[in-house]
Amino acid sequence: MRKKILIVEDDVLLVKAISYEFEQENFEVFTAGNGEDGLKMAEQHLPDLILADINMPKMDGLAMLKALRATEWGKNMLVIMLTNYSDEQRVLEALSQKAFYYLVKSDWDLSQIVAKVKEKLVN
Amino acid sequence: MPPKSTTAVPGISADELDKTKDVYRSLQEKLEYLFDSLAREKINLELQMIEAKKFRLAVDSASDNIVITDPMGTIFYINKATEKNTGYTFNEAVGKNPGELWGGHMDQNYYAAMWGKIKTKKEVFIGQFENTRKNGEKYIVAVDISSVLDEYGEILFFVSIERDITREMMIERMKDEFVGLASHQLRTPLTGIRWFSELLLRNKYQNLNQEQLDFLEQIKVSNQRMIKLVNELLDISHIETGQKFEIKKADFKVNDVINEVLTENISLIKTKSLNVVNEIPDNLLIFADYVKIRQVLSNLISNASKYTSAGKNINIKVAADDGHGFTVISVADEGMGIPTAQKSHLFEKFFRADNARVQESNGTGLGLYIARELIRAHGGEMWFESEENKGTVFFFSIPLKIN
Repeated sequence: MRKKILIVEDDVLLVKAISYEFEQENFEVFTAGNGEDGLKMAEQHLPDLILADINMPKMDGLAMLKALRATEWGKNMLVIMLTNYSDEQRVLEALSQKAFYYLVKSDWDLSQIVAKVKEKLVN
Repeated sequence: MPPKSTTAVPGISADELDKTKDVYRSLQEKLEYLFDSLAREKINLELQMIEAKKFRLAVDSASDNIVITDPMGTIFYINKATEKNTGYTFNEAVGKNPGELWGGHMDQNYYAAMWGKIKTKKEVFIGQFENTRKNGEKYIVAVDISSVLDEYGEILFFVSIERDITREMMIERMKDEFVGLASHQLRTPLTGIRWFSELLLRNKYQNLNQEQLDFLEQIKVSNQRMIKLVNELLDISHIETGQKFEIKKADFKVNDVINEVLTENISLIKTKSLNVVNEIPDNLLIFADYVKIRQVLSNLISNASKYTSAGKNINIKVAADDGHGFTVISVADEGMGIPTAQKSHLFEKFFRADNARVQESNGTGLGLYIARELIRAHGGEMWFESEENKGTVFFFSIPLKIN
């Protein structure tokens, strides 16, 4: 069965590139443009993994992560923070909410991100 | 019978009179002498007063805050700058403790450390205080408190020299915020360029010719250079503000990082036909921050690829195991080496060796400086050995996986 991935990101161009990549890799891709929609989509589709940005309108990625962890269905969901913030405070907050990776977008190729996701989903 | 002498005083003999005159003369001399020395003393005192006035004037009108207290910390002097800076007048301050006026807002341990230093050790205390002006406004001072001792080594008083650095701190903070914001804003379009050029470079539909692919490769290289620049800018700002790098340690294979970095540098390695020999055992696990070690190795390996002459070797290996839970990894190039006279500057910020500058005009001179800071944040160290025209070997020590 195809693995489901939810991409929560407000930059349309980046969503386009990353969804394209994951579709090519045979993932079932869902997208949301802010944390609020991301949370709804997550509950609706129960993805195998969420890739979440931080800086987004309505509800940011960290608030979404916190809300997700407060739900029964989302408390153990796999989450990777994929953001361009690299300050310690945000990284630590994300990790304390059990995001298992905190990746700075501009430091990674799409193929490397896919590899990290696959590695986590196989294990 | 007429008197014997006209100067005679009735009832006093001439002899007695002469004696009295002698006593008077000697008294007069003594008085003159005393008067002279008093006059000299007066001049001396006046000179000392002028001197004291000069010092007082200098201290009064110094631009830094100067506060003098007795050994108990009770103020007996503040200068004009202090009056202006704190809002308290001389008369309001004298007899009080700084804690009752502008101070007392720091952690108790901090004050305890200060007292320990100036009172017990009788050494100079250098630090920063967040204080409050009379109008309630907070301000930050850089202080320097010294104890003034008498000839027996007992404390006479404490002199505190304080400079208001509130504005400098604010500018520093704004600069940091700006760097943070700018780098975040820059990274988003840089990510777009990175990801879309990556997709195009795969040329899945084979509709791009070789020349077009080469151009794309150039876009990718330029893009990576910009990303590196933004990252270095952030790291420098981080180091400059005295923040420590947060090290998130985990066990991982050194070779996973090396392979990732080699892939990133593959086009340069291929173009120059470099022979990369990685002798690190595949099972070598270290206990470190993956992202930060990747940054260090990326710096060392990309430098080695840049500076090694075409067709020559790059050698990566375990150089030693220090027996204290650290392993030493080395990256050796066969490049131009570092000029002897410039060796001591290699890890300095913005430093680039003359021969490196000639060969490669791009480069910030920040990479090695940051790399060493990152290794030090792990408790390790970084160093090098180099011979001009032969090459350079960089070493760094890093914690091994805990068994």
